[in-house]
Amino acid sequence: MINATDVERALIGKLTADPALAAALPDGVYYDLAPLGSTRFVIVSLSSSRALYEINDGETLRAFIYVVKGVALGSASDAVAAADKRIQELIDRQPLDLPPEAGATLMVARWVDRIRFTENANNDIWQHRGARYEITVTPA
Amino acid sequence: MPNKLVLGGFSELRAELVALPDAVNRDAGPILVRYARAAQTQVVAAYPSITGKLRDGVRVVERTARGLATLYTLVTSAPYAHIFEFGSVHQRPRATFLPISERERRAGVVAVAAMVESKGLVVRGAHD
Repeated sequence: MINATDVERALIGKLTADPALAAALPDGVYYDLAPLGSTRFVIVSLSSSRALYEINDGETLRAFIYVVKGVALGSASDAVAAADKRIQELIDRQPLDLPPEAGATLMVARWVDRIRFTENANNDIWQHRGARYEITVTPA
Repeated sequence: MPNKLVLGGFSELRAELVALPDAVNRDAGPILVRYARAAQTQVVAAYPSITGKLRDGVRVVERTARGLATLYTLVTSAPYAHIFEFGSVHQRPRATFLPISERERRAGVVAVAAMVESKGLVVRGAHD
Protein backbone atom coordinates (compact mmCIF):
# COMPACT_ATOMS: atom_id res chain seq x y z
CA MET A 1 0.00 0.00 0.00
CA ILE A 2 1.26 3.46 -0.88
CA ASN A 3 1.53 5.70 2.16
CA ALA A 4 1.14 9.29 0.98
CA THR A 5 2.25 10.68 4.32
CA ASP A 6 5.65 9.07 3.91
CA VAL A 7 5.94 10.54 0.42
CA GLU A 8 5.29 13.98 1.89
CA ARG A 9 7.74 13.40 4.72
CA ALA A 10 10.41 12.44 2.20
CA LEU A 11 9.77 15.59 0.19
CA ILE A 12 9.77 17.88 3.21
CA GLY A 13 12.81 16.07 4.62
CA LYS A 14 14.77 16.63 1.44
CA LEU A 15 13.95 20.33 1.42
CA THR A 16 14.67 20.73 5.14
CA ALA A 17 18.07 19.07 4.85
CA ASP A 18 19.35 21.40 2.16
CA PRO A 19 21.75 24.07 3.45
CA ALA A 20 21.31 26.40 0.49
CA LEU A 21 17.55 26.48 0.88
CA ALA A 22 17.92 27.00 4.63
CA ALA A 23 20.28 29.90 3.97
CA ALA A 24 17.69 31.62 1.79
CA LEU A 25 14.69 30.93 4.03
CA PRO A 26 16.00 30.05 7.51
CA ASP A 27 12.71 29.66 9.39
CA GLY A 28 12.14 26.16 8.02
CA VAL A 29 9.93 24.03 5.79
CA TYR A 30 6.32 23.47 6.88
CA TYR A 31 3.21 21.74 5.67
CA ASP A 32 0.35 24.20 4.99
CA LEU A 33 1.20 26.80 7.64
CA ALA A 34 4.35 28.13 9.29
CA PRO A 35 4.48 28.89 13.02
CA LEU A 36 3.41 32.34 14.10
CA GLY A 37 6.32 34.78 13.93
CA SER A 38 8.05 33.08 11.00
CA THR A 39 9.16 35.57 8.37
CA ARG A 40 11.18 33.51 5.87
CA PHE A 41 10.01 29.95 5.27
CA VAL A 42 8.95 27.29 2.77
CA ILE A 43 5.43 25.92 2.51
CA VAL A 44 4.54 22.51 1.11
CA SER A 45 0.87 21.77 0.49
CA LEU A 46 -1.10 19.22 -1.48
CA SER A 47 -2.79 20.82 -4.48
CA SER A 48 -4.18 17.79 -6.28
CA SER A 49 -3.80 14.04 -6.56
CA ARG A 50 -5.00 11.15 -8.65
CA ALA A 51 -4.49 7.46 -9.17
CA LEU A 52 -4.38 5.40 -12.33
CA TYR A 53 -5.96 1.97 -12.23
CA GLU A 54 -5.46 -0.68 -14.84
CA ILE A 55 -6.06 -4.39 -15.20
CA ASN A 56 -8.10 -6.00 -12.37
CA ASP A 57 -8.35 -2.63 -10.68
CA GLY A 58 -4.66 -2.79 -9.83
CA GLU A 59 -3.11 0.52 -8.99
CA THR A 60 -0.31 1.46 -11.33
CA LEU A 61 0.55 4.92 -10.06
CA ARG A 62 -0.40 7.78 -7.84
CA ALA A 63 0.39 11.35 -8.77
CA PHE A 64 0.58 14.00 -6.08
CA ILE A 65 0.73 17.66 -7.09
CA TYR A 66 2.29 19.78 -4.36
CA VAL A 67 2.54 23.51 -3.95
CA VAL A 68 6.12 24.23 -2.91
CA LYS A 69 6.72 27.92 -2.36
CA GLY A 70 9.04 30.22 -0.53
CA VAL A 71 7.45 32.96 1.56
CA ALA A 72 9.29 36.01 2.86
CA LEU A 73 8.35 39.24 4.59
CA GLY A 74 9.25 42.43 2.75
CA SER A 75 9.20 43.90 -0.70
CA ALA A 76 12.60 42.52 -1.70
CA SER A 77 12.35 39.25 -3.56
CA ASP A 78 15.96 38.05 -3.44
CA ALA A 79 15.31 35.41 -0.79
CA VAL A 80 12.26 33.85 -2.44
CA ALA A 81 13.96 34.01 -5.84
CA ALA A 82 16.94 32.09 -4.51
CA ALA A 83 14.65 29.63 -2.76
CA ASP A 84 12.54 29.12 -5.87
CA LYS A 85 15.66 28.32 -7.90
CA ARG A 86 16.99 25.95 -5.25
CA ILE A 87 13.64 24.16 -4.80
CA GLN A 88 13.53 23.51 -8.53
CA GLU A 89 17.08 22.17 -8.47
CA LEU A 90 16.14 19.82 -5.64
CA ILE A 91 12.86 18.47 -7.05
CA ASP A 92 12.54 18.87 -10.82
CA ARG A 93 13.62 15.60 -12.53
CA GLN A 94 15.55 14.66 -9.41
CA PRO A 95 15.50 11.49 -7.28
CA LEU A 96 13.57 11.32 -4.02
CA ASP A 97 14.57 8.79 -1.38
CA LEU A 98 11.38 7.07 -0.27
CA PRO A 99 11.60 4.86 2.84
CA PRO A 100 10.30 1.26 2.66
CA GLU A 101 7.25 2.22 4.72
CA ALA A 102 6.15 4.53 1.88
CA GLY A 103 5.34 1.38 -0.12
CA ALA A 104 6.30 3.19 -3.28
CA THR A 105 9.10 4.02 -5.65
CA LEU A 106 9.45 7.28 -7.49
CA MET A 107 8.47 7.39 -11.16
CA VAL A 108 8.99 11.08 -11.76
CA ALA A 109 9.30 14.35 -9.88
CA ARG A 110 8.77 17.39 -12.05
CA TRP A 111 7.90 21.08 -12.21
CA VAL A 112 4.30 21.69 -13.28
CA ASP A 113 3.53 25.41 -13.19
CA ARG A 114 4.69 28.60 -11.58
CA ILE A 115 3.38 30.40 -8.51
CA ARG A 116 4.26 34.01 -7.84
CA PHE A 117 2.32 36.68 -6.07
CA THR A 118 2.67 39.47 -3.55
CA GLU A 119 0.42 39.60 -0.53
CA ASN A 120 -0.52 42.61 1.52
CA ALA A 121 -1.44 41.34 4.98
CA ASN A 122 -2.27 44.07 7.46
CA ASN A 123 0.04 46.46 5.58
CA ASP A 124 2.93 43.99 5.63
CA ILE A 125 4.19 42.95 2.20
CA TRP A 126 4.91 39.25 1.70
CA GLN A 127 6.52 37.59 -1.28
CA HIS A 128 5.28 34.16 -2.37
CA ARG A 129 7.26 32.36 -5.06
CA GLY A 130 7.57 28.75 -6.13
CA ALA A 131 5.75 26.21 -8.24
CA ARG A 132 3.52 23.19 -8.26
CA TYR A 133 5.45 19.95 -8.51
CA GLU A 134 4.22 16.53 -9.52
CA ILE A 135 5.51 13.57 -7.54
CA THR A 136 4.37 10.38 -9.22
CA VAL A 137 5.02 7.04 -7.51
CA THR A 138 4.25 3.42 -8.24
CA PRO A 139 3.69 0.63 -5.71
CA ALA A 140 7.00 -0.85 -4.57
CA MET B 1 -20.63 11.51 -44.24
CA PRO B 2 -17.62 13.68 -43.37
CA ASN B 3 -16.26 11.25 -40.75
CA LYS B 4 -16.21 8.23 -43.00
CA LEU B 5 -13.30 7.87 -45.39
CA VAL B 6 -14.39 6.55 -48.76
CA LEU B 7 -11.37 5.81 -50.90
CA GLY B 8 -12.74 6.69 -54.27
CA GLY B 9 -9.71 8.56 -55.51
CA PHE B 10 -7.18 11.09 -54.34
CA SER B 11 -9.36 14.16 -54.77
CA GLU B 12 -12.20 12.51 -52.85
CA LEU B 13 -9.79 11.44 -50.11
CA ARG B 14 -8.41 14.94 -49.82
CA ALA B 15 -11.91 16.41 -49.55
CA GLU B 16 -12.81 13.93 -46.81
CA LEU B 17 -9.65 14.74 -44.84
CA VAL B 18 -10.28 18.46 -45.08
CA ALA B 19 -13.82 18.03 -43.76
CA LEU B 20 -12.81 15.77 -40.88
CA PRO B 21 -11.58 18.37 -38.36
CA ASP B 22 -14.77 20.41 -38.65
CA ALA B 23 -16.91 17.37 -38.01
CA VAL B 24 -14.87 16.24 -35.02
CA ASN B 25 -14.78 19.76 -33.63
CA ARG B 26 -18.54 20.09 -34.02
CA ASP B 27 -19.10 16.93 -32.01
CA ALA B 28 -16.40 17.68 -29.42
CA GLY B 29 -17.80 21.07 -28.44
CA PRO B 30 -20.91 19.83 -26.61
CA ILE B 31 -18.81 17.23 -24.78
CA LEU B 32 -16.21 19.73 -23.62
CA VAL B 33 -18.69 22.35 -22.51
CA ARG B 34 -20.49 19.72 -20.45
CA TYR B 35 -17.31 18.98 -18.50
CA ALA B 36 -16.46 22.68 -18.20
CA ARG B 37 -19.92 23.39 -16.74
CA ALA B 38 -19.58 20.44 -14.38
CA ALA B 39 -16.28 21.83 -13.12
CA GLN B 40 -17.85 25.27 -12.73
CA THR B 41 -20.69 23.85 -10.66
CA GLN B 42 -18.31 21.92 -8.41
CA VAL B 43 -15.95 24.86 -7.86
CA VAL B 44 -18.81 27.19 -7.01
CA ALA B 45 -20.18 24.65 -4.55
CA ALA B 46 -16.76 24.16 -2.96
CA TYR B 47 -15.95 27.85 -2.54
CA PRO B 48 -17.15 29.53 0.64
CA SER B 49 -19.55 32.42 0.24
CA ILE B 50 -18.88 35.47 2.38
CA THR B 51 -19.05 38.37 -0.05
CA GLY B 52 -20.00 36.10 -2.97
CA LYS B 53 -17.09 37.32 -5.10
CA LEU B 54 -15.26 33.98 -5.14
CA ARG B 55 -18.32 32.13 -6.41
CA ASP B 56 -19.38 34.90 -8.78
CA GLY B 57 -15.92 34.94 -10.36
CA VAL B 58 -16.13 31.36 -11.64
CA ARG B 59 -17.23 31.27 -15.25
CA VAL B 60 -16.74 29.36 -18.48
CA VAL B 61 -15.27 31.40 -21.32
CA GLU B 62 -15.84 30.15 -24.86
CA ARG B 63 -13.64 31.14 -27.75
CA THR B 64 -12.67 29.83 -31.15
CA ALA B 65 -8.97 29.25 -31.71
CA ARG B 66 -7.57 29.88 -35.19
CA GLY B 67 -11.07 29.62 -36.57
CA LEU B 68 -10.99 25.90 -36.00
CA ALA B 69 -11.28 24.49 -32.49
CA THR B 70 -13.74 25.77 -29.91
CA LEU B 71 -12.12 26.11 -26.51
CA TYR B 72 -13.84 26.33 -23.16
CA THR B 73 -11.76 27.87 -20.39
CA LEU B 74 -12.85 27.78 -16.77
CA VAL B 75 -11.66 30.90 -14.99
CA THR B 76 -11.80 32.10 -11.40
CA SER B 77 -11.46 35.86 -11.37
CA ALA B 78 -11.94 37.06 -7.79
CA PRO B 79 -8.92 39.21 -6.87
CA TYR B 80 -7.99 36.88 -4.01
CA ALA B 81 -8.72 33.54 -5.74
CA HIS B 82 -4.99 32.77 -6.00
CA ILE B 83 -4.49 33.44 -2.29
CA PHE B 84 -7.39 31.12 -1.50
CA GLU B 85 -5.84 28.43 -3.72
CA PHE B 86 -2.19 28.80 -2.74
CA GLY B 87 -2.49 30.16 0.78
CA SER B 88 -1.63 33.39 2.54
CA VAL B 89 0.77 33.95 5.38
CA HIS B 90 -2.02 33.36 7.88
CA GLN B 91 -4.26 30.97 5.98
CA ARG B 92 -3.40 27.53 4.68
CA PRO B 93 -3.75 26.80 0.96
CA ARG B 94 -7.21 25.52 0.09
CA ALA B 95 -6.80 23.67 -3.17
CA THR B 96 -10.18 23.91 -4.87
CA PHE B 97 -10.16 25.31 -8.39
CA LEU B 98 -7.12 23.44 -9.67
CA PRO B 99 -7.94 19.88 -8.57
CA ILE B 100 -11.54 20.15 -9.75
CA SER B 101 -10.75 21.79 -13.08
CA GLU B 102 -7.87 19.41 -13.77
CA ARG B 103 -10.00 16.35 -12.99
CA GLU B 104 -12.85 17.48 -15.25
CA ARG B 105 -10.45 18.47 -18.02
CA ARG B 106 -8.90 14.99 -18.00
CA ALA B 107 -12.36 13.42 -18.06
CA GLY B 108 -13.38 15.69 -20.94
CA VAL B 109 -10.32 14.76 -22.98
CA VAL B 110 -11.00 11.06 -22.41
CA ALA B 111 -14.62 11.55 -23.48
CA VAL B 112 -13.62 13.39 -26.66
CA ALA B 113 -11.07 10.69 -27.44
CA ALA B 114 -13.80 8.07 -27.06
CA MET B 115 -16.04 10.05 -29.41
CA VAL B 116 -13.28 10.31 -32.01
CA GLU B 117 -12.50 6.61 -31.70
CA SER B 118 -16.18 5.80 -32.11
CA LYS B 119 -15.85 7.29 -35.59
CA GLY B 120 -13.21 4.73 -36.45
CA LEU B 121 -10.18 6.93 -35.86
CA VAL B 122 -7.22 6.11 -33.63
CA VAL B 123 -6.34 8.49 -30.79
CA ARG B 124 -2.92 8.33 -29.20
CA GLY B 125 -1.84 9.97 -25.96
CA ALA B 126 -5.28 11.08 -24.76
CA HIS B 127 -5.59 8.60 -21.92
CA ASP B 128 -5.67 9.73 -18.29
